Amino acid sequence: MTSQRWMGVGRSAVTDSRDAAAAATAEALAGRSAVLLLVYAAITYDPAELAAGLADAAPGVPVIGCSTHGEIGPDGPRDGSLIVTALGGPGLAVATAATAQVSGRQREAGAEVAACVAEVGDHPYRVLILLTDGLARDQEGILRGAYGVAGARVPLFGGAAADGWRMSGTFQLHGTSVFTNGVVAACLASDAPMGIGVRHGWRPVGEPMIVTESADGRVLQLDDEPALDAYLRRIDAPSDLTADPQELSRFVLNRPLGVQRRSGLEVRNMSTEVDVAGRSIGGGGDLTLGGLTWAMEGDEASVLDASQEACRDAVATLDGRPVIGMLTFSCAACRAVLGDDGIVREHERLAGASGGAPFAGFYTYGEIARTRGIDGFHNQTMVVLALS
Amino acid sequence: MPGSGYENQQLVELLTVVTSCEDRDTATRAAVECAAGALEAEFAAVVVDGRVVASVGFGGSAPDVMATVAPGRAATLDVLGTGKCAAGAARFGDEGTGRLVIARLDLDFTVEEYNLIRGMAKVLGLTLRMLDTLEQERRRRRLMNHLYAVQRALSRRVPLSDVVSLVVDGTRDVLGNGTDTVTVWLGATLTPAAFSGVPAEPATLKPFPTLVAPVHEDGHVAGRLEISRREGAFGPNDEEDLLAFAEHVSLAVTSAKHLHDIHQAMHDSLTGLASRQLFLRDLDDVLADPIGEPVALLFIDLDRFKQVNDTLGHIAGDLVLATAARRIGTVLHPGDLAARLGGDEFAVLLRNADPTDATEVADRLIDTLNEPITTPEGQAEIGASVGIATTTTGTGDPSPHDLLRRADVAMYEAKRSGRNHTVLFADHIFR
Repeated sequence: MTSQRWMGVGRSAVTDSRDAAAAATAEALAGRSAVLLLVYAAITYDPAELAAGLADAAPGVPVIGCSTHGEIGPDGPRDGSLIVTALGGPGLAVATAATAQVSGRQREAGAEVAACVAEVGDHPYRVLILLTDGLARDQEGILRGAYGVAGARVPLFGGAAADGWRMSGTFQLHGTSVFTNGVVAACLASDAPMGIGVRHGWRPVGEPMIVTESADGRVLQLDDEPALDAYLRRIDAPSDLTADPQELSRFVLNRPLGVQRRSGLEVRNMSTEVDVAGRSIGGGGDLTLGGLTWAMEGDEASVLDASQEACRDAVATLDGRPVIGMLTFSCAACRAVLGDDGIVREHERLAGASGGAPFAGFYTYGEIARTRGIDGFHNQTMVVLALS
Repeated sequence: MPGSGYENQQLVELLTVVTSCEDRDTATRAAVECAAGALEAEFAAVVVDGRVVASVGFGGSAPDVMATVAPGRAATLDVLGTGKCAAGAARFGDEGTGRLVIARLDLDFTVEEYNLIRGMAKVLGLTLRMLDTLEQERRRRRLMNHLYAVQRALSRRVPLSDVVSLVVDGTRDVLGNGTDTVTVWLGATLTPAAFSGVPAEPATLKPFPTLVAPVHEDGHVAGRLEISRREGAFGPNDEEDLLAFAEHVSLAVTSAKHLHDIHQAMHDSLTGLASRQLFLRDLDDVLADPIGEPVALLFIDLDRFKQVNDTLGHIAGDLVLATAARRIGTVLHPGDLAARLGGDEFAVLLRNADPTDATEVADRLIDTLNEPITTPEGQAEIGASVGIATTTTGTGDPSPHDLLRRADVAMYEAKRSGRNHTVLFADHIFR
C-alpha cells in the first residue's frame, strides 16, 4: 500500500473480453487498492464480459468506461485493445452515476449523473468525469444539465464514446451495467489540485460565413445558400468531391469549421453527417443560428503542438505539485488527420509533457472540458486532466 | 483575426436566437444561456419585478443575491460560496423593471462587455414586448373562438349544463396557466354547475388568488364564474376576459329560463305533451310545407274516462291520462306530433302517412289504450275512439283548424257507432 496518490495504467490486447479485463486491471492495480477504474475499450470487446472481468479483478471498486476509436496509453496508441486506468491513494474520493436512454432528454440526463458530485464529501478539488454516447445528438445539452447541478466550481471533463468509425453504436460501462445510449460519470474529489488543458491545432481561413439556417443540430444554410455548397466552396473542394462519399469524408475531416468564443475559436467537425442530397452538414455539435463560422485548417505540426500544449496547460495548474498521471482524450478526427505515424509522434509529445507520469485515454467522438463559462463540448481538440 | 467585432456578433446571435422563440419563457431562457455563453460567464439570470424568472449556473432556483445586483458593471458577488464574481446588470422593459444579470468568476467585465450586456438586455426587452403583443393577439383570437362556440351552442338550444361546460373549458384555455380551477356556481344555493381543474371545495380555494365575475339572470345576480390560481399572478387582461365568459353564462342561464318558460306555456303540465296552441302552430308549419307529403291527423277520445274519474277519483284519473299519453307516444315515429287538446282528448299528427298507414296506427293506439291501467285506487279500464282526417301538405286545403275539425267529426262518428274503433273522415259524415 502506497502512502501517496497514484495512477496506474494497464493494457491488454487479448481478444477474450474477460481475460483482457482481468489482465489490464491487474497491471493497472499492481497490487494496490484503487478508488476508481476508468476503462477505454475497443468496440470489438463484449462490454458485458468486460464489466464482469473488471468486477472479478477489482471487486467493489467503482468503474466507468466506454468504447473508443483507438486507445491511448503509455506504450503508444493502439486499436483493438483495452486500457484500464486505476486511481488510488490517500485524499481521493469517488462517486459514480449512470443514466440510460439519453436521447431526447439530454439536459435531464446530465443533471442526473451530476448529482453524484454531492456524494464525494468535503475535498478542496473536484472534477466530474463524463463519458457519453458519441452518436447522441446535443452533447451540449448533457453538459448544460450537468453544469446546472455540479456548479461553477466543479470542472467537467471527459469524452464521447466512439465505435471505431462504424457509426452504429457505442457502449458505456458503469459497474457491471452496460449502456448504448447512456451517460456514465465519476466525480473525482482530491486533496490535491487537478488541472485541465484544452487545445486544438486549427486556425481560421478567409472570411467567416453566417449560419443562416439550422435545425436539429444540423446546418442547413450558410450565407443564405445550401450549407454544403457554401462550405465546400470556402474550403476549395474539388467540384466532383460529393460523388465519392469516402473521399468527401476524408477531405472535410481536416477542414473543420470554427465558432468564436470569448477566449478563442472552437472547432466543429462537420465530416460525420454530411447530407449530399439535402446539401446540409452536421455532426460535431451545435452551430448557433445567426452566428459566424470560419473554415479552419491545420496540419500535423499544429495538431501535435496543440496536444503538447494541452498537457502543459493542465500541468501548469497543479501549483507545482508533481504529476501522478494524466487522462488524455483526443479526437477520432484528429487521429485521422495525423495518420498512423502521426499518432505515434503525438504519443511522443504526450510522453514528453507528462514528465514520466503515466497517461491514458482514447480517441473520442467529442471532447469534454469545461473550466470557464457554461460550455465545454469540443471537437478535434485535445483535452487533458492532470492529477497531482 | 475573428476577434474584432466580437461583441457585435454576439449581440446578433442573441437577437437571432431569441427572436426565433415562440413564447416569453423560452425566449427568456434562451437569452440567459446565450448571454452567459457569449461572456464566458458561469452565472446569468433574468430578473423581473425583483424576482429571478430564468437563470443558468444554479442547480435549482437562483439565489436571491442575483436579484439584488444594481445596473452597472462594478458589483462583485459571492455566488453560492464559489468565490469572487464580477457582476454586471442592465435594465430592460418599458419601465426598466427587468434586469439581465451576468456574473463571472475571477474576471471583471470590460466596458465593451458591459456594453454587450446592455445591448443584450435591450434586445431581450424588445423581443419580450413583441412576443407579448403576439401572445395577446393569439389570446384574443382564442377568446373569440370560444365565445363564438358558446353562441353557436346557445342558438342550437343545447342544454344549459353543456353550455356552461363550454364556458369553463374556454375560460381555462384562455386564462388558465395550468394550475387553475375554474368553477361556475349557479342558483340560490350557489351549487357548482361545472368546474375544471382541482375539485372545487370553497374552503380549499380560499388560500389561492381568485378572480370572480357575476352571472346574471334577467338583471339579477344568479351565480358566479370564478378562477382560482395555485401558482402565479393574474394578468392584466384576465378580469376583462373572465367578464366576457361570465356574460355568456348569463346569456345561457337567461336563455334556458326563457326556454323553460316557453316550454311550460306550450305544454300540458300533466302529460308533458304539446298544448292545443302549440299543436296547431306546429300543424300550421307542417301543412304549409310545399313538399306534398301525405299526413294524417288522429283525434283520440278516451272511452269510459268519466267513469274512472267518478269511481276512482281525480288522482287516479290524472294517472290514467299521463299513462295514456305515454302509451300514445309509444306508437309514434320521430317527427310525428302529439298533443293533449283538453280533458280526455288527444291529437296526433302522423308524418308521411296515407289513410291505410293512419288506420293501422290508430288500431295500434286503441289496442294499447285498451290495456288496463293500474292506479293506487284500483284498476282502470278505458278504451279510445279515434277519428282520422288526411291531407297532403302544401295544398292549403283544408286549413289546420278544418283538418282538426274533420278528425273531430270522424271521432264522434266512431263514438256514435259503438266506441273503441276508428273512423276515417269522409265527406258523407260531415254532411
